[in-house]
Amino acid sequence: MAEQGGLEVSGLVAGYERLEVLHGIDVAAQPGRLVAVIGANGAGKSTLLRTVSGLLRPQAGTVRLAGVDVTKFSAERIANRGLAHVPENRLVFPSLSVLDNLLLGGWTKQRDGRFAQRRDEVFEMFPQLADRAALAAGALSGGEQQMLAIGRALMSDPSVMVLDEPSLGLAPRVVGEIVSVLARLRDDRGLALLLVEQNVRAAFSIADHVLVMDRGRVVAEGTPAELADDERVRAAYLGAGAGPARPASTSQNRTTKEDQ
Amino acid sequence: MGTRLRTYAPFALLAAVLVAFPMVASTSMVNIGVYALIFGLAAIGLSLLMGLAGQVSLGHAAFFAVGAYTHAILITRHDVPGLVSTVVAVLAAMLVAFLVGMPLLRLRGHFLALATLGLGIIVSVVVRELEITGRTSGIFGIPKPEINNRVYDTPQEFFWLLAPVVLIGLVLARNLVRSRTGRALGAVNDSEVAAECLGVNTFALRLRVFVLAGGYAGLAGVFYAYWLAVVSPEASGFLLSVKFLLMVVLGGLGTVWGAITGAVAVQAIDESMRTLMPVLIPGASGEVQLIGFGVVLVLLVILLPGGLAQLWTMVTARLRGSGGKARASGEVPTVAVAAEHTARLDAAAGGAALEDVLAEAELPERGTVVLRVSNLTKRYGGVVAVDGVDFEVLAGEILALIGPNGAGKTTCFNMISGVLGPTAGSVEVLGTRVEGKQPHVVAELGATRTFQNLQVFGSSTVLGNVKVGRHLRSRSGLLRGMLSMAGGEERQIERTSLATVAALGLESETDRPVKDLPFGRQRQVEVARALALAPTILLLDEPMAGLSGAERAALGDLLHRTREAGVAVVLVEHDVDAVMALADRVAVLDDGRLIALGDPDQVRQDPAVIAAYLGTDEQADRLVRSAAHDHATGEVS
Amino acid sequence: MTDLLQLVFSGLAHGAVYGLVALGFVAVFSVREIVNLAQGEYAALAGLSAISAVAMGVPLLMAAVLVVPMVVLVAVILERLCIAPVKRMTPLVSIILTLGISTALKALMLLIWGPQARGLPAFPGSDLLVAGVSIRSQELWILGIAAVVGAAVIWFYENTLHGKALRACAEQPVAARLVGISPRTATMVAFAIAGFAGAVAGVAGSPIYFSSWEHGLALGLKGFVAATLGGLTSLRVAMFGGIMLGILENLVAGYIDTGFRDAVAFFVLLLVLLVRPQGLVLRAPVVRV
Repeated sequence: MAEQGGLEVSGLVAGYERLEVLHGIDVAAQPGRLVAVIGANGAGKSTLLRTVSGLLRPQAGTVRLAGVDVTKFSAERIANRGLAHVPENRLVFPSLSVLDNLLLGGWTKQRDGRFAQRRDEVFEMFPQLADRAALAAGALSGGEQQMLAIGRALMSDPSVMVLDEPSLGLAPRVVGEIVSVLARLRDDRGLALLLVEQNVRAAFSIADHVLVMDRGRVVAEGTPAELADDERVRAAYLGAGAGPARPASTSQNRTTKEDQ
Repeated sequence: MGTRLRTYAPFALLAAVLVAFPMVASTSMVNIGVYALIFGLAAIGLSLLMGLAGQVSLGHAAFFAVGAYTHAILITRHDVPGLVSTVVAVLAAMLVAFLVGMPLLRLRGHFLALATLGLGIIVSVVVRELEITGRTSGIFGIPKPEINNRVYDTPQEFFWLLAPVVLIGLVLARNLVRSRTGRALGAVNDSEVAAECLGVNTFALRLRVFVLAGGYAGLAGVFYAYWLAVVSPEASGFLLSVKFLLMVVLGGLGTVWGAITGAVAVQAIDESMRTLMPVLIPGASGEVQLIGFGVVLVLLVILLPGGLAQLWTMVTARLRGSGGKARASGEVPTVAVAAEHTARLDAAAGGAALEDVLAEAELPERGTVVLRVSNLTKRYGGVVAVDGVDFEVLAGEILALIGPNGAGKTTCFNMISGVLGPTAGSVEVLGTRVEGKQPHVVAELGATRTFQNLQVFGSSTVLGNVKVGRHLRSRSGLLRGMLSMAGGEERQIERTSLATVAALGLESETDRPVKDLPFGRQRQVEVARALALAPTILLLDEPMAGLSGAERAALGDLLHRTREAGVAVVLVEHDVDAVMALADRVAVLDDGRLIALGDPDQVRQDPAVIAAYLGTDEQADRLVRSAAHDHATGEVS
Repeated sequence: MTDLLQLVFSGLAHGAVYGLVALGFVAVFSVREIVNLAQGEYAALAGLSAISAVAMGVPLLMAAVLVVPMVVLVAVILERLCIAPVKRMTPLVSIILTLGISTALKALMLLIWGPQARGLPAFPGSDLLVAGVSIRSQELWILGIAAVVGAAVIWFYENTLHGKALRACAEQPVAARLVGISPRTATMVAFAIAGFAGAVAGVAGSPIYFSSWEHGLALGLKGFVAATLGGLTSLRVAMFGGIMLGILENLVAGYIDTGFRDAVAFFVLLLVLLVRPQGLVLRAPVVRV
């Protein structure tokens, strides 16, 4: 049931050096759907996204993008095929201006002549960025950098977007703003979205489907309503014996050491 | 002692080969052998520097030249006895290494490499320019060594004079690798900041190895001068530096044996290129062997980064039929296997071992202020990361530091542990001001830490990591390490390290490479490593992250035991409920400011804390929902 | 006073050559964090090749122009063959590797051209005498070429999409890959630029400073020192640093002793270290703990 334009991951095994982090993950995001992955630090959520977008080579399993097997593709080729990855910690190009960041976001589409149109769409979505177009991206606030990272990803006109903790370290108001943009991308543009979050509340508020990961495995999945009172959600996220969920802004930056 | 036999058997074998070689080989072969030993001696030092300390020297010939020239000058111009001039020459090379190392070793990686390359060039400029070094023609007429009226002037004789020196040099270097100092150097190479926070004075250690490597090169230079009877600027040349580097890389980084095998191999390449190239390309002259060096270097890096040592492990693994993956530069087991077993049994027998380890700290009375932070401030440009924070920590309590992302918790830790210097304010550990001091100074006073972004010593095992934690609780230095005279201390380190490993429930992982463990287990290794130091103040940065429920509970128990022993524990943690259950007092940071400090119940009720951090569930819900809702309705209309 | 002016002016031209070599260091380092020790070899190779071309009857300026793309090609091929296959590029590995490349190139040049140094004929033009300072036309050529090439490289990095993509690779290699910029291509382009800058330096400088198989080492080290002044990431400072170094060397050679000329760069390096002991990298490796 390979969906046109969707993302389908099956049996994914991946890790770093001799350390296996993912032990067989299945997840699918169809166009117009938002799938959220939640789980504690070290559950393997970022590793999942890094493997999906080709930054890490999986040891086993397949990744299909719009029905095409891209498992062995490099990150650049996968980007070319319409998958945009909004990385953890935003990773904007700090010394380049906001506009240049967007320009490079459209790298894979540099010849289709629609840069201006897409840029205007991004500015319409995030008016704050328009005001700061000439500013170096490193000078933006955390929330603005997150918007820029999403905007940069949109410049390649992707069919699938994966996001790694876009709420990280942001004020609730900004989180709300970003959540509403994600909802819009799903509903208006029909993007397939795969969202990794530690902010369970934000994730539950928009997801069509939620996966709970714990130490490299999917331990529960279902609709937010089905999972809302699931003991496993709390166990995986908060540790056994923890009290009621209190997840807002509880994540902290982790190493994202890059293998080159 | 079967293990001792096994350890020294390869050296005995080498000794036998060295004795026999001049008797069976032709004179020209022995001649090549003499050069291999001379250069090999310098390569041993460079191997320590590169393999152990992870520092590259592209100008190693500089120290070689200092040794050679000093010896030549003393013996030809001042008639100094050979032995004396040898000693003085080696000391001179070490002195130069010390003087140059002081500023240069502040550099890392590329900068250090290029600076040493520059040093090499400057030395060759100097020897070409100075009258005392004989300018371009050099110094002639150095007599052959003479001991008890026996003149070592034939290749055979000289080989036999040189061989024991090289053998001893090799044994000393190998002992050093396995000593306390070697362990600390390996740790510095893996994570300098973690080694510092465990009390390793990284700069001093690097400098010592640099000076030692200079000494090896200086001694090699002396033998070179003796053998050639002439010292010319060639002894300081870039070619020679490349040769030393190639010997180390070809032999295999991280093994001192590699220096010798590499030296023999490079000398062989050198000789064969010199005879072969003019045949292949008529009219070729000059240093044509360079092409061999360059090509071999490139091929090595691409095809065989572990050098001949890697080839050896691959071949022996194949022969044994184990078929397992050869480890390029695996950690050598540090202490004899037999001793390990007994120690392990001891550790298992004594149940209260952790308390024994912690008791080493001479902990102050409970309730004494052990850490005082006043007006601690850190600014980056216009951004204030930590803004005038004050708090005290008492012996025998657990203080938790919580707050949202970017509140400045880790920055506080960094300033307390000496990783960062504060912009303003003070940090007092047991009454001593430590702000702006190096982390090892703070560790010496009894405060150590773990890291939010893991800083394990990746090239080592779990036990190897924990042993570095014992650095401050043991004393043997470079010399004792080289002479392998710290056996008793090593056994003590082994015992306490195993006890600490057991306290964290890591027994089954003791000898596993730490890199093979899941992140949560690696975090526990960091805690074990910090506890092994027997700290007075233990700073833990998110120790619970990545741990399962059961592991969290076990860690909680461990921290209670640590507190009961009288240690002050400060922890940064995100799991608020775990923190509230564990901590005696809780400090809340928001936007760099301390907004609350008190017992868990007080803090939980504090309106400022609720507003800034905890929030109410309804508030957060409303925000997110309304944002999504606003948008949805906007679209409909 | 005339002496001083004379020394400063001829140092200016010499320094412009260092500046070009320094550009090559920055071009590679800012994209891949590799200090390319073969950088000076590009210059020696270009100079010697041009000399041979002229000896074979190729007109001087045509030889000078033809040699540059050839060296660029060599730089790119060496990158493909030697740098690209390496998976774990630590500073130690990159130094050993580029040292190997540099050594092999040196030896190759020694085999082909022999040990003696020689110079390309000077480019057309007549020497001048201005206010007692004699100015060789080749020095003007060097300054002109360095200005044009330097400006072009800087313009490329700062104003073109592809130049910005290279900078993006340097700043956030992962994010660059995620937007589809290939690090392989970026590295290749960086080495091409390095080869270009080195080759231009070699050809323009050859008539005055000569070319030889071992010339590249000293030239490379000085280029590195100049590049270091700009933290190995600033093209402008690297160019400027090269010029300052050239002038300083000339002053030392003129007022102290010619023999110590080659030691100046190292002293500058040490001096900078003492002033900024925390190191010279502006874009310091971020260690978050």
